[in-house]
Amino acid sequence: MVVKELQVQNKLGFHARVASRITRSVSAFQSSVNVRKDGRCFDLKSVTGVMMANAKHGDIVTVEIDGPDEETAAQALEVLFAEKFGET
Amino acid sequence: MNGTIAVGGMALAEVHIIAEQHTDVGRRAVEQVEAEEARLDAAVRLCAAELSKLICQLQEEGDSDHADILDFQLLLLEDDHYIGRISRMVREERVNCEYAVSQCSQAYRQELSSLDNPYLNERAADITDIEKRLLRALSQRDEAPVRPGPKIAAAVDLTPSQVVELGRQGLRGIVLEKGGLSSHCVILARSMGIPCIIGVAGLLEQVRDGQSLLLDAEGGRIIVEPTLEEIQAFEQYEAAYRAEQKELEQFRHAPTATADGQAMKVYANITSELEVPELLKQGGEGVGLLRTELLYMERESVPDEDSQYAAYSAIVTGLAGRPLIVRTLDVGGDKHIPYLNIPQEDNPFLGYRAIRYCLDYPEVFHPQLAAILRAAALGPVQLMLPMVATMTEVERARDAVAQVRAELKERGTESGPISLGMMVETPAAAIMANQFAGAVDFFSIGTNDLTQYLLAADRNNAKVAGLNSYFQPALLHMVDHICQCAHRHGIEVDICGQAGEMDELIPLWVGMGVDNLSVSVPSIPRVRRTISQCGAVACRRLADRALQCSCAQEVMSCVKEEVKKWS
Repeated sequence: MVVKELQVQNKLGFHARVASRITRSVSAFQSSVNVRKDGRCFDLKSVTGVMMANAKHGDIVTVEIDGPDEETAAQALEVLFAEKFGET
Repeated sequence: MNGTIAVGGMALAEVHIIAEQHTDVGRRAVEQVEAEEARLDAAVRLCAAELSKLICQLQEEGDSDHADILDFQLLLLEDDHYIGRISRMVREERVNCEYAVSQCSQAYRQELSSLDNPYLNERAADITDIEKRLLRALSQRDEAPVRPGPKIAAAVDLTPSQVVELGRQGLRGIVLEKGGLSSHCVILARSMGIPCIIGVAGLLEQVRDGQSLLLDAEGGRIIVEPTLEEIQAFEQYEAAYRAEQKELEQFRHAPTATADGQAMKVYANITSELEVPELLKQGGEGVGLLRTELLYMERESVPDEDSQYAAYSAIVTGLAGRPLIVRTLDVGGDKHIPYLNIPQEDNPFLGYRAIRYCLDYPEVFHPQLAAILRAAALGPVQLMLPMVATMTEVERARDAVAQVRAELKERGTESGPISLGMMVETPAAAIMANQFAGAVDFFSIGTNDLTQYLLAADRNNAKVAGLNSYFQPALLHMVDHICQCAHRHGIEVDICGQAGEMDELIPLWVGMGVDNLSVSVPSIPRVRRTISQCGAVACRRLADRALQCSCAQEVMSCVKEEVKKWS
């Protein structure tokens, strides 16, 4: 399992449009992708999972990626977060 | 038949009845689970194909707001939390798809509605929408074939995706048995400029599919099989409307100025970010009044700071540098929000409402202030207090803003500069305008409430409606006084009430030196045209004459007489 601490850098945080983007990109991988926030675990492969995680601008979230392609999935996620999910 | 006008306009077309689908969602045990799963898969694929196609079309047309609504539903079809749950239920409990879809949708809706996040609460409507689509696909029933050509949709209620879909197929009007003025469906109709009448009891019993229907969303009437005369009246209306729209074209994107070149601005009153694209299309120069009540309605608890921030920032971003005036929660009066526990009052308009309530409930007020301050980091935002009657209220609100700003700073959250203004809608605020003008950054005159308070005449009581006229000299004296006080202190004064968009009154507002008029979105070009016909100097003379009048009737004829001379 790969564990990453990633910072939410876009102004609006995990909003609907962002949720669609995250879900779409992690669903391409076989590995499970979960985010831990405030002691709860949310599935990033579910658009509602992402939104319920309710991460805001500046929050640091713990992402756990587990599966055969966990390394590539982790890299893809890092890029996605660094690019602010294509927002500002 | 009569109903409530939700979006003004008129339409004449065939009725297209959108019947509620009654699929049997009872529990049935299935023998062949594989076949049942295959049936679900097929339905999901069909729905996904329908949605993808619609999204593509909308995106090609540059309608990304409506595309986003449907995109979320498309994702639900891939979502393990939703569709995965349904398919597991079919497999593990060996039950029919319809039962699983209905059960899981219900459970999911409840889950979403109970969250303290209006964004997700609103998504509950999307679940209903996708549930209906799935059930229809499962029944292999085609949607009642939509005939080509113009049509008026008649239904009990419509889902947002139905409105969007019909909007692409010659939709001319909407008439609903149910519906709410602030429902998603109505906001969509407004943003698409589709006339809409709601609350028509017994509608579906009285119309048949394919009948000719005249939707008069100016008079709030629906006429089935209109007579030749009624049709001719409509055609006249439509011809006049078309000619008017054509003539107004040049005023959509021209700068606002009086006949003698004095600059003014035409802003819009809106309730949701969905209205921003239409505002831009009509040439709105900003938002003069964002009613925030909608964020608090149709939900179970107070929306949190983040979800409010999301709503405000979407508008700020959409306005691309144009100013946004956010009015803080104006609850009470005729706007009731159950979870705020404001007790029933004998006199709600004179009761515990708006700023009076907010100042007592920091847990409601402060998250809103925080969201507004944060949105101000993205563009020009002004904060406006409703129902101010005393200076203490302004001071307390200012303290609350300072406190919230300090808290944001402590949290390391960015906030932006805001100016603090107030609605002038109580006679107390109007009379004390000189003192208030020294204490706030701008005024916006709420003529609807100011008139009813000034005349002591309930605006919802038909028996005293005659008193509630914006031509009352008492109102004019108040507005003139407010303008003079504002100018003495160098602050701007807007009108955001209905009186601000009435052609007959605009010359008076120009004459009194009102800086900006905030009007309903479709009226923007018309108001700009009227302003362009008003010479500031002539208008000042007219205002002085109107202020000498002793009754509303006299004001009305005085203005009409004068304006006739100009054209």
